[in-house]
Amino acid sequence: MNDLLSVSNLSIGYKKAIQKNLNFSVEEGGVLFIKGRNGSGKTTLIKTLFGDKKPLEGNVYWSVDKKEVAILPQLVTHEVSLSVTLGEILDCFLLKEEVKDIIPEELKKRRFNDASGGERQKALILTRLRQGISFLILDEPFNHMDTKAIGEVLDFLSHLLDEKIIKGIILISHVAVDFDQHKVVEVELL
Amino acid sequence: MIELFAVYQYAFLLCLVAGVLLSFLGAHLVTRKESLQVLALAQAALVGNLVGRLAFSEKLQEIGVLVFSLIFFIIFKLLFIYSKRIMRSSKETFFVVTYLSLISISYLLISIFPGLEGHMAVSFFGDIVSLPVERSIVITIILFVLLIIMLLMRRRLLRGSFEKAVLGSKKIELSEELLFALIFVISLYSFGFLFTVSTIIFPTVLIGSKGRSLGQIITIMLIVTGVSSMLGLGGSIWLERLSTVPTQVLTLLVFLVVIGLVLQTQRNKRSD
Repeated sequence: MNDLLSVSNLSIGYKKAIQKNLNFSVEEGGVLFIKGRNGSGKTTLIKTLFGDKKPLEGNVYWSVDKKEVAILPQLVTHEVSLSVTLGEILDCFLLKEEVKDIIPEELKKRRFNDASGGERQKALILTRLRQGISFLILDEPFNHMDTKAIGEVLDFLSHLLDEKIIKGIILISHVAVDFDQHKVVEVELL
Repeated sequence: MIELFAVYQYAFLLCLVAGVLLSFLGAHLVTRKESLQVLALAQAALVGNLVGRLAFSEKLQEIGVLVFSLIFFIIFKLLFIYSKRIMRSSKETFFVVTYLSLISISYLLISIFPGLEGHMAVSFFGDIVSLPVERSIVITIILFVLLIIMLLMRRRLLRGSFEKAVLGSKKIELSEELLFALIFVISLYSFGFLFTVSTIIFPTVLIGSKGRSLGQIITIMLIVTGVSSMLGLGGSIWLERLSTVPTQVLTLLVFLVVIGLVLQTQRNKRSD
């Protein structure tokens, strides 16, 4: 298996290191699960991995092009001022052909404000899957979700990996994840 | 009376196009949570309007007023973009502080240059009925072109509004901001503060989230705003004592409240 991402002796932070000597890699078809308390440097790590911030020390190596990586930030609100449906949201993003019909027509008619946490998150994940995207970074995708909704989103992500719609995922979450058939590398930031 | 309406045919057309365009613009600005910013930017453009009147001779005053309004709008927009980054937690109150400060500046200017008082009143309440026919036609064409551009950009605009509202994106799209600024300043110049700000904010705030889909609610909002702008104008022509813009704004408000109640009732029935 090829490593999509490999990190060695990485120190992250601004003037002072927040985390030191991080070592991990993500294989094709794998998931990197980053967990840690508030202020432990999860966002700084993502910025460093994505190249928005230089590492203080160590190396980050991607075997996929940066253009193939998409980030889904965490939701800032569950309500919008307009009655927009999930289908209308997906229509305004240039999605990959293979994901255009992944959400049933009935669900596409549901308004964003009325959709459940799981339905909303699945639609948001799809908005990142433009033509050419093969790697996803998801920031706290399970916030304010119950166990059932978390299960739905995990199944959905497994489906994307199984169907090779994406090659790998980085997941930042304080909720434990359980991807049955996929290699999960766990990094805990203390 | 029919003859009187015929005299104002171009003003009716202008109100229709402006109502539709501003309502469309408002759908994005309100979704992006920029309502208070709209208030402050409108006041900034109004100060630019007054400064433009002072800086230019009568011959060049109309162009000068437009240019200065646009410059003031852009300066304050840049200030808000910058201030958002340094004062994330209190940006809404910052808009209120700016708005109140700019009102004070406007009235200070008027106290020093009393000749500006009439201009300030026109800039606030607008003067659609006394716009010369040629100017009405030119402004209608410009606003119509801007409406077409917005319609062509509708997917991109929705994408931007959604990213900002739901995912907290801070990305600034220059072409979008320029388009918004042009519509805003031309509308302020032609219709005044009250009509522009009300038409931008009212529809989305009052009925924006009450439809079945974006397509449905945008269609309703554009029709209601266009029609109520024309009806308000018609009402003020018919009953001479009624001031045009307040009649338009209150007509819009009544229509939106009634339609909002109808849409809410339909939603309640569907969910039962």
